[in-house]
Amino acid sequence: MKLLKTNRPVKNRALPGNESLLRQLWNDPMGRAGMIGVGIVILMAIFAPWIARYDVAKMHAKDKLISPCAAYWFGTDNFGRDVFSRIVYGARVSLVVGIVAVGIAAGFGYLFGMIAGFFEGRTETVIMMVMDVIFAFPSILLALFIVAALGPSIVNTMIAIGIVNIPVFARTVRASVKTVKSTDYSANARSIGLKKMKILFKHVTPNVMAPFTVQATLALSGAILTEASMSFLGLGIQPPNPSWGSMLSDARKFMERAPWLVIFPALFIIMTILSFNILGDALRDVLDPKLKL
Amino acid sequence: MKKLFALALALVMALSLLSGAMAEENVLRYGVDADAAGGFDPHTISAVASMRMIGQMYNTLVDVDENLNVIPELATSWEQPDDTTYIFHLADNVTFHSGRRMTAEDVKYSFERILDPAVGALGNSSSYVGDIDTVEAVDELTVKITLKNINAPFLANLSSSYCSIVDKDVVEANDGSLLLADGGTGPYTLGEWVPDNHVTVNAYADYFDEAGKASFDAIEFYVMTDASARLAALRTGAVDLIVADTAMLDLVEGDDSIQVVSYQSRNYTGLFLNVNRAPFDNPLVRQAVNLALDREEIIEFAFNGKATVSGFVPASLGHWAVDVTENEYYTQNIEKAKQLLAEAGYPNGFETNIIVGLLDSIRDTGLVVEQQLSEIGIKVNVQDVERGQYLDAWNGHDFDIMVCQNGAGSDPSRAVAFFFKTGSSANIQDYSNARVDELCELAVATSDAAVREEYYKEAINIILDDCIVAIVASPQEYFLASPALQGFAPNASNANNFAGVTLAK
Repeated sequence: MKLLKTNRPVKNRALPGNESLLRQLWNDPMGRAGMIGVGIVILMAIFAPWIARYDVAKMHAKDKLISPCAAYWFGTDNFGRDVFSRIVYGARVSLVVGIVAVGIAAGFGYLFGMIAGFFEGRTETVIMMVMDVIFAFPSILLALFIVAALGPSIVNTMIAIGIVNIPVFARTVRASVKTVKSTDYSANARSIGLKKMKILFKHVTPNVMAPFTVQATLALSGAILTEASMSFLGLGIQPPNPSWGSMLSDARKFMERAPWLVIFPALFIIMTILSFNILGDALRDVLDPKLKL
Repeated sequence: MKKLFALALALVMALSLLSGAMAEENVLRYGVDADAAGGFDPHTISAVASMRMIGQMYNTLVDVDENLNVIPELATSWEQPDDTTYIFHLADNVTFHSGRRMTAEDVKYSFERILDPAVGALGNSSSYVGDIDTVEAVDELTVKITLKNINAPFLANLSSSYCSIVDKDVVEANDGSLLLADGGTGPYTLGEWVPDNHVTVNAYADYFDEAGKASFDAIEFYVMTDASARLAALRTGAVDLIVADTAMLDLVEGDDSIQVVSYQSRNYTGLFLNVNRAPFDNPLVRQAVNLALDREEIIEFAFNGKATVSGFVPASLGHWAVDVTENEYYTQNIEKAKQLLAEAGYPNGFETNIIVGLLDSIRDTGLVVEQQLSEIGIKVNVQDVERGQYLDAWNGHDFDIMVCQNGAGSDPSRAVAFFFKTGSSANIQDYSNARVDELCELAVATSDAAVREEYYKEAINIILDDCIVAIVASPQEYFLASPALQGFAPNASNANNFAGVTLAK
C-alpha cells in the first residue's frame, strides 16, 4: 500500500515543469488575473461585430453627448456615436496593431539576434551597432518619425512600432544564444559534426523560446500603448475608425461636459496594459528555469 | 519682542502684497488659439494669429465698417477725379512709433514696397492694389494714386492690412524686413514676443486719433492652443478674454461670470471637388454630391449648431450674397442623388478620398460628409493630415475632395474672382469657365455698383449650378470674456478692435 501511494507521480508538485504552461499560469493568482484581462480583450476583438450595439461610424443627431444609459451603455460622443461600440472595435485595433507590430519586431529581432549571437565577430558588431542606434532613440519619437515619413495609416503605424521594438528582441535572443553556445550540449552537438543550421534550430531555438515569449508579452503592452499615444497625437489610425488613443484625443474638448468620453477609453487602455504586464511577469516566473525546482 | 517683530514682518508683507495688487497695470490679457506665425510684417504675413497684433500696430489709408462702407483712417478725405485716379488727403498729426511724422512720401514708399516683386507682398495682386500704375506725393499731405485700369473695389481693398503704411527708416534699418520690427502708426507698439508663450503690445501715447487711442497700457496675447486650457484660464482670471470654441458654449451657458461675445464671420466651410479628376469631372456626380448633403446636420455636428447654411458669398456680404436656400442643390434629396449617380455611370457608387485638417470644424465636417455620402453609395476615405500636408494639397491642387474654410473678404472680387477665376492663385480646383472669367473682368472694370452686382450674381449662379463646390456653412465666431470687459464689439471687418474697450476692475 505504501509503495503504491508513493508511486503516484502524476501530479507532482515538485516538478511543475511537467504541467502544461497554461495550467501553471492559471494556478498563479497573478497569472490568472492577467489571463482573464487579456482574454476579455481578445474576446472583445474577435466578437466585436456581435458585441457592438451600433455601427461605429453611425451618427445620431438627436443623441449628442448623452451620458451612459440603457440605450448607450458608455454614453455617446459629440457625433452621437455609441462609445461602447467604439471601445469594442477599438480593442480590435489595439490587438491587431499590437500583434502585427510585435510580430514584425519579434521576427526580425529573432533573426538578427540569432545571426549576431551565433556567428559573432564582425557580423555581430555591425548588427548590434545598428540595433544600438535604433535603441538610442526614444521609441515614440522614432515611431513618429517613421509614420511622418510614410504617412499616417494603420499599416504604417504597425511597421513603425515594429521597427522600434526590433532591438529589444535582438538583444534578448543574442544573449540567450550566447549562453546556450557555451553549454556542453551545444559543444557536443558541434563535436559530432552537426550542421550550424541544425544546431541553431534544433538546439538553440528551444532554449531561447522562454525569454523570447516573456519579451513578446511585455512588448505587446508596449506596442498597444504606443499605438494609443500615436493615435492620440493624430498619427495613428484614420477617422472614423476608432482607436482608444484617438477616442481620448477627440474627447479632450468635451472632458468637462462629457467625462465618460475620457473615462472609458482610458479605463480600457489601463486594463489592457496592466493585464499584459501581469501576464508577462507571471509567464517569466513560470518559465524561469531557476524558479522551477 | 520676537512676537512683535514677527507681527511687523507679517504686516509689511501683507502691505507689499496689497500695494502690488493696487499698482496692477491696466492690461488686457487675451488668450489666443495660435502663436504669431513668422512675425509681424503687415505686407507679407497672412496668418490670422499674427494679424491680431498687426491690426494694433499698423494703420491703412482707409477702413471699412461692419456694413462694408469705406471710412477714413490715415486719409481724412479723398476724391476721384476720374475712374483710375484717386487723391488722398492725409491726417496731419500722424507719427510713426519712432516719433517721426508720417507724410505723403511714406505712403508712396509703402505702396512701392508692396508692388516690389522682391518683397513678395500679398497686396501685389489685382484683388488688392496690384493694379496701381503710379503713386505720387503731390505735397506733404496729399497722395495721388493712378491705376492701370479701372478697379472698382480699389478703395475697399486699401483697408486690408496688406496695404498698411510703414516707416521707411525702420524697414531699411532692418534689412528690408518688418517681421520682427515695428514700423507702424497704430495705437499699440510691438513689445516682446516670447514664441509659444506670449506677445505684448504697448500703448502708443502719441496716437493721432483720439477715438482710436489705446485704452489699455498694454495688451498681452497668451498662446493657448488647447481650448479647455483657454477656458480654464478665463475661469481662474488668468486672462480676461479668450478665443472660444463652439464646444465651450454649452459649458458657460447661464454662467454669470462669463460673457459671450460673437459676430457672424465672412468665412465659409465646404467641399472643394477636383473638377479635373474623375469622377468629379462629371457634372452629374458633382450635383449628386451636393444633393446628398444634409447641411443642417453638418452644422449641428461640426459647428455645434452655431453657423448658417451658406454659399461661397456668405450672407454677411450683404447685397452681394445670393440666397442659396433657393438653389435646387441645397436641399438634400437622396433619391435624386442616387439617380444622378446612376446616370453618370456609377449605379453602385465609387470610392474617393477627402482631405481634412487645420481646424476641428474642418475635420468634423469631413466626418459627417463621409457618413452622408455613404448613403448614396460613395465610399469616402477620410485623410486627416497635419498642417504641412494639408497646405501641400492646397498648393499642389492635389486632392479628390478637400474640405476648406475660406474667407470671402469684403468684396466679391475676392469671394468670386480670387477663388474661381481661371489661373487665380486660390483657384485650387483649376476651374475654368469662360463666362465666369469674362464677368469677373467686366465687374472689376465697372464702377457702377448695380451693374457690378448683376455681373457677380450671374457668375455666382453659374458656379453654383456647376456644383464645383459643395459649400456648407458660414460659422459664427465666438469670444468669451470676463464681465469686466466692456465695449468689446467685434465684427467681421475688424474682429480684434480694442478701441474704447475697457476693463472695469
